[in-house]
Amino acid sequence: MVELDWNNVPKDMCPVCKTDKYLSPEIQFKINPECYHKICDACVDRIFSLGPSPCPYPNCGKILRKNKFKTQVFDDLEVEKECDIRRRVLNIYNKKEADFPLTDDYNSYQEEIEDIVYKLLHKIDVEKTEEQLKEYSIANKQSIRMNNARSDQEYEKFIRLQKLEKQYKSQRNRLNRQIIHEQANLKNLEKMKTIDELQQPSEEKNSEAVIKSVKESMKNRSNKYKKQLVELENKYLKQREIIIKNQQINSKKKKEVKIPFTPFNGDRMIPMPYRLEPNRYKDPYMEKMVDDVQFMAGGYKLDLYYERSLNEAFTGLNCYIEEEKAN
Amino acid sequence: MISNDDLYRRSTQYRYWSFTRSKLEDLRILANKKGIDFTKRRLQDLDPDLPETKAIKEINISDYPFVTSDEELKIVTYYARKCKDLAKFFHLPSQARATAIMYLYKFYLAHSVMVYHPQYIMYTCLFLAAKVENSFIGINNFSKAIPKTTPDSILQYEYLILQSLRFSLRCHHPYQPLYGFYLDIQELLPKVDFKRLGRSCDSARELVNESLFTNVPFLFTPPQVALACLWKSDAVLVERYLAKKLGLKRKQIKSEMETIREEEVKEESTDESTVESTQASQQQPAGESSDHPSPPSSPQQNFDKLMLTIRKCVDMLEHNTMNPSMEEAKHISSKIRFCLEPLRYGKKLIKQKIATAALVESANAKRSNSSELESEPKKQRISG
Repeated sequence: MVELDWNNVPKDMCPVCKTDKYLSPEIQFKINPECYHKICDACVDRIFSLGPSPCPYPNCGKILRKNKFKTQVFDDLEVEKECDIRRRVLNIYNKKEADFPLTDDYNSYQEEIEDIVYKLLHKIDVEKTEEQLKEYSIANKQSIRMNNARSDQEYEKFIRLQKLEKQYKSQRNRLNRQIIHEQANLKNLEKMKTIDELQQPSEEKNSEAVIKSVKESMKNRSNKYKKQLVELENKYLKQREIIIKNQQINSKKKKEVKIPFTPFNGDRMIPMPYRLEPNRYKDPYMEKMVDDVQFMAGGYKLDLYYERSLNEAFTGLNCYIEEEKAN
Repeated sequence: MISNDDLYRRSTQYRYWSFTRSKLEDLRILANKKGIDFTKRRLQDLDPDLPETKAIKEINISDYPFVTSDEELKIVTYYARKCKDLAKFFHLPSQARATAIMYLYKFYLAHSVMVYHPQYIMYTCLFLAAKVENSFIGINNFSKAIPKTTPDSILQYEYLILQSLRFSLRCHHPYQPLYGFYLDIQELLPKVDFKRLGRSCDSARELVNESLFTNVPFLFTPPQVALACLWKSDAVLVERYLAKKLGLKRKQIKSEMETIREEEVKEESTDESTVESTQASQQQPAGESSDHPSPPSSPQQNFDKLMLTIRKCVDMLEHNTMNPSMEEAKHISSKIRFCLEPLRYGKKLIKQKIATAALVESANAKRSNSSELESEPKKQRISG
């Protein structure tokens, strides 16, 4: 028996039991992200069913668990490795572009992610990088959890949309098929009918009229199906909008909760006795002030001044001192 | 739900510095009484060996030149006007000027001019108001500009004034509400001629300036004063504006206005029939209390009530000004001097005695024209 070269295992062969694809076509290979050594499904069951045990590859010695084994997706193990690392890092570094006020910030964030992935993949400063990852995950525990929840939500939405689209497509196809079928049927039927009717000598004169009426009925039928098709499309579009909007409503609700602190717990949101219409107010004096650089530099805003004046105009207008202080 | 009016009710201006008419008068009388008591104690504490003290003791205590409550208000108003001039000299904004004047009036609700001379209090009030209203003037520059003052002489009253104000420094003036109404009228009545509105508001602003020297700031809220001033300069505009604002229909306005006028006539007649405002103020709350249990809810009632308040306010603006002439002010001022420094009055009494003795002698000598001569030296004494 030829000694196996452990460092260069043939592509379709399990190095542990020496089975290959030729003899047992159902063979499936699994890998463990600890060491990425390829082992066949049967061997994984056999070796790791009783609990964690070391990798059967010589000079590896990593303790592997059965539940960590997974099917290899990519042929190239390097790619597989990078995907795994990337997934792990992105689970922690999970901010979206919308979370950053500046594009530059987002870019540097991405740069950081790439750095970490590269270092982990090529085993440069692994300990240090791992520590960095851990620190970041602890520092941003809450936002990470929130972002994960958000992406879950988005994923759910995506699934729902996909489902809806699938349903819509199948229904549309059915209708289309029905239309074609009906049309073919009709054509045959009309032909027969026309022949039948033309055969009867008494109605010779109306031969053209007969053909006309037959054609019209045919048109009507196909029109009916076309209408159904249009209805279906409208319905689909509506449902899709609802799903997308649902998400928006949720996010709107969250925003509404974030009102600024007021000493009255936000219960001052009653309609004011005036309407603020800065465009309709005319005041030559104030308008001159607004253009003054000195005022502009200080962040002076005419609208705020208007609002304040109006507010004061209706602060205490209906307080009748003589009456209220009588006691 | 908290309305703007509720917010106003939480302000110190409403809680500490808004009174009914009778309460305001009571406070002034009380302050006056305190001042008189204080002066009497001062008289008792005088060195009994001095000839001046003996001269004072000889006269009846009720003849001593105590300042009356009315005179106090007059002299405070006089100095409030001085304060306005001084504020103009320093180019202070109207907000700061008005605050200084209000501080001065508020101070003399708690104290008497017989205890603290209004001139010095006025300086400190102005200094403090400038500081509060964000137009600070350094104390050295401030006292340099005013003759016969030192930084210390101004600052020594600062804490006292703060205490008398009950540390409530914020003053709500009608200027800002007036501007608010100016804007809101533009929005609500777009057809109103812009120039006319501007003119009305300018003259209303002048009236607001004048309103500071009356009791109005203590009796009405700033928006009410602003409306009253605007009404005085352009009655039709304000009535139309309020009618539209409160949702009255055109026909209703006319009838409502008539009823209000009738009520006004009645009220004025009661005002005239009763001797002074004390009795009138007693009557008015009694008349209103019948309406009080059912607070007005319909637009007409609201409109009525607001217009009535505005009318009252206008009435106060027109009749309740205490503007002393120069001579009057001088007379009161000398009285204050005597209360603050009783020995001066003693000196005056002694001088008078000598003068009358001399007069008697000269009268004896000449025996004629004595009546003319008698009046002359007295005049000199007073002015001296």
